[in-house]
Amino acid sequence: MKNPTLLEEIKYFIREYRKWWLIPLISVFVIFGLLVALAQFAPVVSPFIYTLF
Amino acid sequence: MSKFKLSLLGVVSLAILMVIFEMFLRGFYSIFINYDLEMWRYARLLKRPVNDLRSHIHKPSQMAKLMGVQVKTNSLGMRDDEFDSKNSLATLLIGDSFTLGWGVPHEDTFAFRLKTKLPELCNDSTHSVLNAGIGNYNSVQQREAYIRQWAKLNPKNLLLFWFINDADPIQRSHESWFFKHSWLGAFLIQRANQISSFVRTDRRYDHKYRSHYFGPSGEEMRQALSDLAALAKSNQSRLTVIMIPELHKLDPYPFSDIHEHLTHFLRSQGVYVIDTTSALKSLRPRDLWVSDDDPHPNGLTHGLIAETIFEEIKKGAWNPCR
Repeated sequence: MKNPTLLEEIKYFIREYRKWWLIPLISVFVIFGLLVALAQFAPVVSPFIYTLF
Repeated sequence: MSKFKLSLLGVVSLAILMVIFEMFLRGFYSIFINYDLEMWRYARLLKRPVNDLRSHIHKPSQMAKLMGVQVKTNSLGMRDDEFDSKNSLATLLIGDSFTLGWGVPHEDTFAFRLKTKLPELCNDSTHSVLNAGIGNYNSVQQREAYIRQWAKLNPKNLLLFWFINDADPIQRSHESWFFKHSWLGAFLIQRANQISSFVRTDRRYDHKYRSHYFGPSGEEMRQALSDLAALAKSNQSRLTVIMIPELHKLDPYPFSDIHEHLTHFLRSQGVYVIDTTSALKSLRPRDLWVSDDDPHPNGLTHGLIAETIFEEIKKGAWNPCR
């Protein structure tokens, strides 16, 4: 039998133990990870912006 | 669980997450340098807001490691050695982060190369050069800084290093504490800018620069350059403009019409113009950048810009030695 992937295990855990509150938490982590990846690998198409003090 | 308890749990979880992300960003970006966050650190560590058209100045006598290189300001707030204002100043360099030498070690900047080479080319060991480049300055801010700070140094030559974003309107600071002091806040706002540049082509660099140049802020830029030329003349000085190209694409260069338009305008004001675009055209744009996410000119580009200026002097086309 094929071993379940990490994603499948998480899905099973949330469904079986009714830990629905974990969904927003995991979503925030995934979005944050995507933003970090975007900063590292996306092509530079924005103009020079440096507004913050 | 009651609604109150649920809300409280949500708020506490969010606060804990924000602390975790803040700590992660501080750790991660101290190893993997990110241009946006380094610019934000530059603003926090070396700039000070002021209540006039300049919007900000450099803090004097400060030091910070930015984009992997040491940036040190003198008592006049310039990235340069100390200068005794009783001495006469031959050449003052005006510009933005390009002139400052963002991301480039001091000894590799065109400012430093001019400082060491001009006395030799002019056969005058007393020919002094000062670098007044301040990141994010446009032409209006440069005119204001000249009037308020630099005219009293009585430079004989004003070398203004022009870049296409000198036509951008003056950017204002964020009032929110979160965006000013938190790495997470800075990171989120910069990613929002990045995503909006992806989604909307009118927010990309080429559209932005073009619309600013031909819009009201471009008109203000031309007026500021014209004023600087007149001010320099009235102070027995002379303005020379050195054009630095936008480094995303060089052959064919998408802003050549703008360079030609501005050159024509400046010459009509009696300003000598040196365009460095052709010296950089043969190279791959990415090889001219500070890093993959930072299209500022690197040390190689600074060297080529300096060489273009030296060639003008050797040809006798332009003389800063008087």
